[in-house]
Amino acid sequence: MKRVATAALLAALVLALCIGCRIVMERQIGRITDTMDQIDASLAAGDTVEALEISREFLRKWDAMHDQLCYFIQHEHLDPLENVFAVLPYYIEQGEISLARAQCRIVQTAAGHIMKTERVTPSNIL
Amino acid sequence: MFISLVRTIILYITIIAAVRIMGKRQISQLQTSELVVTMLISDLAVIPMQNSGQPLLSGVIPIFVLISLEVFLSFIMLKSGKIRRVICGKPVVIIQNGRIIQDTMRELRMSIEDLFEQLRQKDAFALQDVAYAIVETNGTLSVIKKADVDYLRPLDMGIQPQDNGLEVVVVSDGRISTGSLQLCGKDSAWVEKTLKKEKTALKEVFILTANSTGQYTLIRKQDNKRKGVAS
Repeated sequence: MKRVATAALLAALVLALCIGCRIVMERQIGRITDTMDQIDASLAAGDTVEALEISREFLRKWDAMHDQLCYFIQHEHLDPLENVFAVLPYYIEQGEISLARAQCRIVQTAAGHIMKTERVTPSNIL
Repeated sequence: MFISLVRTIILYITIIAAVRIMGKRQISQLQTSELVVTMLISDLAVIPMQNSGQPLLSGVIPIFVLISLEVFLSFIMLKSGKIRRVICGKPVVIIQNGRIIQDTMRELRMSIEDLFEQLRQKDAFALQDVAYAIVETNGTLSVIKKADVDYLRPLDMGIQPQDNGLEVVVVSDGRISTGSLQLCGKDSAWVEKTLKKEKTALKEVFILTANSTGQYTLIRKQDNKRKGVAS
C-alpha cells in the first residue's frame, strides 16, 4: 500500500506541476503579448517616446521572465522572442517604426504559436 | 557542461527512486509492462541529460507518470485476475507427460532449439526426463521432472537434516547491523561476547555472519577466516 500511496502522490504532483506550468506560461505569454500591443499602439499613435520606454522596461524584466519560462518551454522556442526584445528599442530609437511594428507582430505570432503547441489537442498529441 | 553534470545527478537520483518505487524484480522476471516501463524510463532520462535546451521537467514528468501508472496497474492486477490475464497472459503447458504440445509451440512461436535450450538451462538434458514444462507469463520456462529422475531430497531418505536457520551479516566493516541481529535472534551482547572470545575488536571486523543456532563466521580485515560456534 505504501507504493500505491507513493504512486498516487507522484500522480498528484505531476498534475499540480502541469497545471502550475500552464498557469505561469499563460500569465507570462499574456504579459508579453500585452506589452507588444502597448508598444504597437504607441507606435501607431506616433508616441515613440512611450514605446521606447515600454520596450526598454520590458527588456529589463525579460531575464526574470525567461528564467521562469525555461522551466517548461525549450530554449529554442524562446530565442525568436529574445532576439526581437533585444532589437526593438534600437528600431524605435532609429525611427524604424514599420520595422518595430513588424517585430511586435513577430512576437505576437510566436507567442500565439507557443500557446497553440502547448494546448491539449489531438493534433498536438498525435 | 555543469548543467549536464547537475542534470545527470538529478536524473540518476530520480531513476533510482523510480526503480525503488516499482519494487524488487530481476530483469528476467519482469512482466511485459514492467519491462516496457523500465526501457522507457531509461530512454526518457537521456533526453534532458543530453540536451540542455530541453526543460528537465520534460524528462521527469513522463518518468513520474510511468511509475504511477505501473504501480496502479500492478495493484489492479493484484486485485483482478481477469485484468491480469489480459495484460500478462497466463502460463501455458508446453510439455505434458514428456510429450511436446506442438500447437502450443506454434502459438508461442517457439522453436525446438529455444525449447531445448531452456530445458538444458533447467538441468533437463533429456526430453523423457520431463514430466511438465510450463511457459510462464514472463517467458521463462518452469520444468517439473519425473519423480524417478528428480533430485533426491532428505525427506525421500527419511533423514531430518539440521536446520541452521537464516545466516545474516551482523557486523560489516566494523558496524553492527541491529536489523540483522533481530533476524537471527541475537543481540549486541552476543556480538561483544563472540568478539571477546575471538580476541577481536569491533573495528577490526570485516564481516561477522551468524545464524539462529549460534554458528558464526568471522573475517577480520585483511586477515584469515575463523569459524566457530558460540557457547
